[in-house]
Amino acid sequence: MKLTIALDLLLSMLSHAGEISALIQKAKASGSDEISEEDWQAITDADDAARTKLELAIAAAS
Amino acid sequence: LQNSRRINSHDHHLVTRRANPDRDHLRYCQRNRSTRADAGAGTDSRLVRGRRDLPADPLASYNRPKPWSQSMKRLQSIAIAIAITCLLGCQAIGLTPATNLDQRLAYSFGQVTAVRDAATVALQNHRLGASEAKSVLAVTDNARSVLDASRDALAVGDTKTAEARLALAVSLLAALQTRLNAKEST
Repeated sequence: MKLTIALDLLLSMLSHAGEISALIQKAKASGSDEISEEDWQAITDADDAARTKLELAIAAAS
Repeated sequence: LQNSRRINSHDHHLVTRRANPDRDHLRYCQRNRSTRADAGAGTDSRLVRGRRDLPADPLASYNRPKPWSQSMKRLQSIAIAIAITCLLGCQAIGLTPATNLDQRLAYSFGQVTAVRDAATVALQNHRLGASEAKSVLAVTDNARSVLDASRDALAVGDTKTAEARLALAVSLLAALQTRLNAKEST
């Protein structure tokens, strides 16, 4: 059971880094170094969704 | 002759002392045990005085508040080290390395989301308490607002402020990750 949070964290990091990497590659493929506004919106929306999930989990646990 | 006798008696003394190393060791141990016991009971004022000579907190100099500029320099060096590690790590595991501030910001946003997701999973599996999860939520909210501010600074062309805010967010996240990792490894 040891290091499970660390593993969760590592897997989650890899997963999200992969998504961001895909967005960067997409930007580069379209000839730009900057991430498009649409993709930025997707990044911030994903974080907002993760925040809401954590809030709900806290409410359920307490 | 007298000199040689004196030398001989001195040698004999040394030999007899060295002939009983176990006895010496036993005496040493007994002496140590008694001083430890006395110190624990607080009866021997000499030992208490002796203890007063020791620094009260060996980490006192480390814990002493440091000047702001020194802290900022340390923060920047940590952030640079993390950025270099991330860059090398990205290449090693097949991720596209971030080549500008916009892309590094994107990776940091992903980091905030990843910490939130990991905390949610850990909380649902009862590996993290609700109070710890609340603390994670607070720190990630702070990191997110600093990242938003960094993005705003970048949008108006203030690269220096954007870099400083990104470094602050990265150090906040690194500290939080270290805390979460240490939670179960101890």
